[in-house]
Amino acid sequence: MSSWTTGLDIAYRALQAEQQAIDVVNHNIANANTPGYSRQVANMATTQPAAVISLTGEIGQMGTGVRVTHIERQRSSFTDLQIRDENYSLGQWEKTRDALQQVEVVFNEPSDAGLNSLMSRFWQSWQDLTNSPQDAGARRALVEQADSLAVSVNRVYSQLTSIQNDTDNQIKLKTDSVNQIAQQVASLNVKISQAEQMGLRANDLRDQRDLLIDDLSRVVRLSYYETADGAVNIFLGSHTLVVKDRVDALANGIDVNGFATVTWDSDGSPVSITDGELYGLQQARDVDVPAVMNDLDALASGLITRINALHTAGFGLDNTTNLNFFNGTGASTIAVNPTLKSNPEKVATASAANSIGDNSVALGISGLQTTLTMSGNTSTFGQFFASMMSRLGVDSQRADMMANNQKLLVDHLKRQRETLSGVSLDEETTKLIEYQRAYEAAARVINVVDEMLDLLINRVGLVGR
Amino acid sequence: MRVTNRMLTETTLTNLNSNRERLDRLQDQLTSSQRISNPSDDPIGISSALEFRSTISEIDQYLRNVDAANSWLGATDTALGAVNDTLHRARELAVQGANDTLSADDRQSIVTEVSNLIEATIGRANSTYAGQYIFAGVKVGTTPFSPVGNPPTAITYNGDGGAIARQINNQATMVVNSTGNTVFGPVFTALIGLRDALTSGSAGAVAATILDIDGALNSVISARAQAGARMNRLVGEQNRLESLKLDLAGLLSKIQDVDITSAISEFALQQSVYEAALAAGAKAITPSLLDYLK
Repeated sequence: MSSWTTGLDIAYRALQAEQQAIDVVNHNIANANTPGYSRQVANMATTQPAAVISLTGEIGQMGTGVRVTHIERQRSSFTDLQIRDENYSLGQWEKTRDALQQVEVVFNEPSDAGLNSLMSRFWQSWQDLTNSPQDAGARRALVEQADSLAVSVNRVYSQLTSIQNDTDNQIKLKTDSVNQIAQQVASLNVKISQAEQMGLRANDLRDQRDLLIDDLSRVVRLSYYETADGAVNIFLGSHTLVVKDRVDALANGIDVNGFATVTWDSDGSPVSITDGELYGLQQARDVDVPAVMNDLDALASGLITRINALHTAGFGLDNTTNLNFFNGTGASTIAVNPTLKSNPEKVATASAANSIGDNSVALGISGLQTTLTMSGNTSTFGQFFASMMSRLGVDSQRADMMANNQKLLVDHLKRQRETLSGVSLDEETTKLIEYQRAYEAAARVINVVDEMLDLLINRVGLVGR
Repeated sequence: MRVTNRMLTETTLTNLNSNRERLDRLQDQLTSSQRISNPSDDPIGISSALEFRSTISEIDQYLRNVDAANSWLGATDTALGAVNDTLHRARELAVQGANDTLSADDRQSIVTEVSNLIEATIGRANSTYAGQYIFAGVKVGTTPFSPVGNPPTAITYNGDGGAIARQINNQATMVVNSTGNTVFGPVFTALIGLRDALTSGSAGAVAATILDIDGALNSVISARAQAGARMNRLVGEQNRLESLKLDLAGLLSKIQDVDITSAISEFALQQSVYEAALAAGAKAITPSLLDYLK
């Protein structure tokens, strides 16, 4: 049997449902630009139908209207997984690229101020000295040129050390940010579980958590799964980072070089870091930058040993002999012997005492420019430096290419996610109109029922009055 | 496929950015006229560029060394040329002096001239180039020839037999000095012998010195010929170095410098692509259904 109230009830429920749907649309529009937001859809379904017995005794069902069953988040966990799988590499290559590009800037090649030019000018000064070994000006020029070469090598080396230290600091900051993210995921886990145990869908909280996991996947390679109560457990390697509301925090130890290691705070064991920004930073600090530093060290120590071997055997204008030209042992310590800096006449050019015109030692030293002295006597100092720059260029170019490719891939996947989860204003506007019209129609139904009741109550029964 | 507003804006932004990046890079190349500003711009090219730069600066230096060697040899040639003339004059005087009919006065004036020639030759033998004695071996700071007695009875050599070399290319050095002793020893012997013979008044003794003078001339001529041959070799070396430098500069420019014509046209092309992207972006982002609803 259908009652008067049934009609009003259906219309009322319709008003409510459309109202709710409009609220969802409103929420979508409001969050069209919110990072990590997934659009939501109000799922509508018919309410429980009422059983009716017809006059002929058949039992049937009568519709009772509409309700919003749940508000659904449009999200693909598979696309999330894909994005996170590519995010590790993106983070890693970006960090490697950043470090190598800084190294390139430090060397400033090719330019007239780079080490290559300084070395050329240093050798030229030796050659000039072979032309006039007794000339005080040529001696002064050589000592100054040698000094600016040595100081530049020191400077480049110390700038490389700074890059290493910056990278080390970033590792500490990234460790902190992993802990912060883990903490936030843990607290969202609690909120989501609580909400969903009450039968609610924690759409917005899940968006926030997914955004955090996206961020985390850039920093370090992780694995995760969702438990039945809606919490997400996160692992780094085989070690848990987040289990429901509990966090195993990371900490920084100190390695033999005084650099930060990444360990588990609970037991001090090392964290397995295979990809991500942390890995890229570690590689830059422990492999990429030190490789360049070692090469520079080899170059400096080669210059020191080779030049000193000839110089100590030679004689200066005042017959001084057995003096080193360069002090120090490597790139950080190479320096022109201070005795020579204050007394350039002591620079050894002759192979015997009292032979001021004898330039044979100076010729020998300037000849080192074209001698195969480096890499097991297979390349000159200049060639060694050129191939060092070439290798740096290859590494930096590769890191840049990998980072760009990875960015394209991640962008593509994000577009894919946006296709499903993004808010389209056109779509929401259309829905708004759709729900508005339905709301208007439901209101109209109330009007009709009202008029029918009016007819029945106020205008029926006037017969014979 | 659903296309959302954010996709449109992000696509537009990404495209504008990458266009802007390319434009920026081209602009950088054009303004610096360098194709390589970092090793990663061309890792293979950077190695060649650096080596070519070093080699070019080496060649510049060898050219300077060649210049220095040339000047030294030029000074040598001038000194020896003058000595050569001196010896020819001495030979004429010797022929005159060998004549028995000369008066004592005439003979005395010849002696005076020969004494002057000896003085002048000492001066030539002590020639310097850039403050260095060129006939002193490696003792370039010591006056190599000093007369003993007045008038000088002998000339002492204070230099040594050391060789002074110049690096003229990456493999070869060239000795630029002539040992003073070898060249000037016979000259002084001959000239002092002539003066003494003239003073003694013996025409026969004077005639006998002509042979010594010829010997001294030979030693000067051969030293001069050696310096000349070295200068010739330097001219050849200079030409070779200069053409090598030109070749290398060409190669370096090919690797390192921007091809301005193609860079400018690429820049123009990129600029129009960028403008097209801007125009398309402006059209794609603005409209939405809201524009058409009342």
